Amino acid sequence: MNTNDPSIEELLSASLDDELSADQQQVVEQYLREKPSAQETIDAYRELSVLVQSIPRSQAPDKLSIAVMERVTLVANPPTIESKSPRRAWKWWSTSLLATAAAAMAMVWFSRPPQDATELAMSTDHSNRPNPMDMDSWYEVDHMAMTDRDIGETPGSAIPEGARIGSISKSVRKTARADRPAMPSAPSIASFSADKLDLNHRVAPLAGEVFGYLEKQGDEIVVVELMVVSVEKTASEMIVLLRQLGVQDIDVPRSGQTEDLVAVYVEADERQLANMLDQLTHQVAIVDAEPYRAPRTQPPAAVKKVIDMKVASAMTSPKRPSTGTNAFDGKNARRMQQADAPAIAQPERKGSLVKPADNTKPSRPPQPALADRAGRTPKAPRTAAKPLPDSQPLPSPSESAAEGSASSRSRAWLARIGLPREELKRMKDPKQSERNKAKLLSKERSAHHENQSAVRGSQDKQDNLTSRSSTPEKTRRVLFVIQPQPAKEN
Amino acid sequence: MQALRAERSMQLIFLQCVATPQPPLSELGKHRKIPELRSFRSRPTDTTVSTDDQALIDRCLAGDGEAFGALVDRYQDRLYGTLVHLMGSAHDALDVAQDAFVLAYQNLGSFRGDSAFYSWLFRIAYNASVSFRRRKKQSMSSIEQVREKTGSDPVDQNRSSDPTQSVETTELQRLVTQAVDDLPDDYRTVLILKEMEGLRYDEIAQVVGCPIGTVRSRIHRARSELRDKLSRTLESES
Repeated sequence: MNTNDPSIEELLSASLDDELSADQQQVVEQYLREKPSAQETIDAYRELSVLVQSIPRSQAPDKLSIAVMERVTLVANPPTIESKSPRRAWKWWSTSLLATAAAAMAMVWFSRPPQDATELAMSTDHSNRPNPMDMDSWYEVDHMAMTDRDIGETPGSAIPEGARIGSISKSVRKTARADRPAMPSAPSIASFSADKLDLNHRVAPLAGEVFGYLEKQGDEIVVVELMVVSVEKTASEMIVLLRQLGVQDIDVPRSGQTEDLVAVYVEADERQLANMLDQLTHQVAIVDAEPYRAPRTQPPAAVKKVIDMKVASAMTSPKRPSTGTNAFDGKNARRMQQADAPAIAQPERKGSLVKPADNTKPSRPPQPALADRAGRTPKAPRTAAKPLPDSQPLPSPSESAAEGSASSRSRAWLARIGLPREELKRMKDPKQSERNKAKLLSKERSAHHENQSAVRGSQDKQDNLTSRSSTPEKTRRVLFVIQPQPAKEN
Repeated sequence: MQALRAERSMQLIFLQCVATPQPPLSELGKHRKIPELRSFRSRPTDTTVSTDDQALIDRCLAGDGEAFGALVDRYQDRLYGTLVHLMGSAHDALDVAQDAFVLAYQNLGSFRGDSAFYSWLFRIAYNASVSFRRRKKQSMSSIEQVREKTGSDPVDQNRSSDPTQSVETTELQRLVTQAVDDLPDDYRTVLILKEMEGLRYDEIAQVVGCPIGTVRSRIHRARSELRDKLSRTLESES
């Protein structure tokens, strides 16, 4: 065997560490007999080993333990211990120990006008069947836009108790305040419905799941993405990271203080928020000792499923009768909401967003609301809303032609994440993903750099509205909804 | 396993003995006498959690925050000391150590006690360091901007190789530290995990997430590169 053969060098090095198998040990011994000078290599490695081990170890500065304990005190509760029995788990779930285990959903608006026919198709409203974009959805969207301004004008104010989340009927409270004056006005915090997330027929959303649906803000069609992030392990980190973004005074209720869902609305620089979300999700991976994986560039299955269902729904559903005016603006929303009030209360509408949109089959039997299953009486859904000013009419639903094609679905996804198609193609290449991510980040950063003013978000939105450009959004809005998470069953 | 650990301990003692005035310095220290060195190597990893640690963990789980403070005091020096060399920056090590402790606190409930607390903590810290590096890479453009403007890299005042750091270092230790810090990340990581943390190859493979053969290869390459680097440095200074 040649001395220059790396394999024997490796074996010599490993022999120093007693990491050789019996066979390898024999190979090394044989080699040393044939070439005694190789012993010098082992000796050199041994000296190196001692030298490296002799490198002084820095003592931790005092501020480390202080900083750690400060951050630890931010954790609202001691670490949770999972319930051992399903019965206890169910009891635990029903009592909704908020802070002991929670899931955060990040609601991300990409305030962007429709990009293609697919989205127009998806935005088509159909009143005669459970539809993700049915009237109560529009109504709630309008209310969200209304609340947007309210919250934006009074940062830090609490969400009215009347704000309910679907049939779970938990009140939503705004508990975060952005101290930075540069924070743009908040669009809304109110009534995204738990029904939309189809949470009522399942135990809980799973971390990593992404729910997406379309909503309307003003005359914009926006894509709402809800990413479920388990904050059971990262609740305090979220608070710390929010503080780094200038969001102060997070008042997350402690265990037993409330059974409400708590929404923490944040609006900040998209890159910062994206990094924050990345950190949150990655910290879960850290704890679970999972290797790092590059962020997904393919649409999550859940989102694609929703999009596909929306497209199928648009293809098969009858058009909503025209009201002669914009049926989706705030004024008409309330009127139509009142007219549709019984329908809103019908359980068939629950979970319509992620239910298969198949008109030929009967609707899935209504699942009891979580509150019902927990033995509590569901609270009535919110019914009051302020009207919005008149806005431009929606594009005609007839533009839903050519809906459902693969290419249009693809464009819908590309548009959803707000990236140019070419950029995404490059990102899909694993060899170039890191470099392209850096490029993209740099590109985003340069874009963000120009948009640090207080009115940045709303102005950009308006600009996009008028120009209908495909420029990636510069402001990302995130809504964390902390909700009880059931204990894992054995 | 016990026998194996005893063997390793004996080996460590032996190495310390031969380290002192050992001749041939091979390619390393032909013109320099290695001073008497004390190994700072951590003890080999335990496979079970100590009763003291478990008691503190139980108290933490019962809501006693001070108990976690005791765990922090117990392991912060060891963890931080390794992280400084792992990260190549005292400042980064501080951040990662903080993250690791906080993550450990938040997930104490998932610690099953089938390994030593420090091993579990260190795995969290290592993953946190990977995450930290990744995030730092994303902000490298600002450093590149500095380089473009000034023609030189930004100076990290907290560089671990700074001789004015709290730990007194000899000249040789400073050179070795510098050489280790200059190793490529992959090589430096496995070398530090081996020499400073005393992990076995299979443990390193588990932490780093690569095959044992890769660990063996990287350790060998790290040693080889370190030997060449130190030889050149010592020869140039002599």
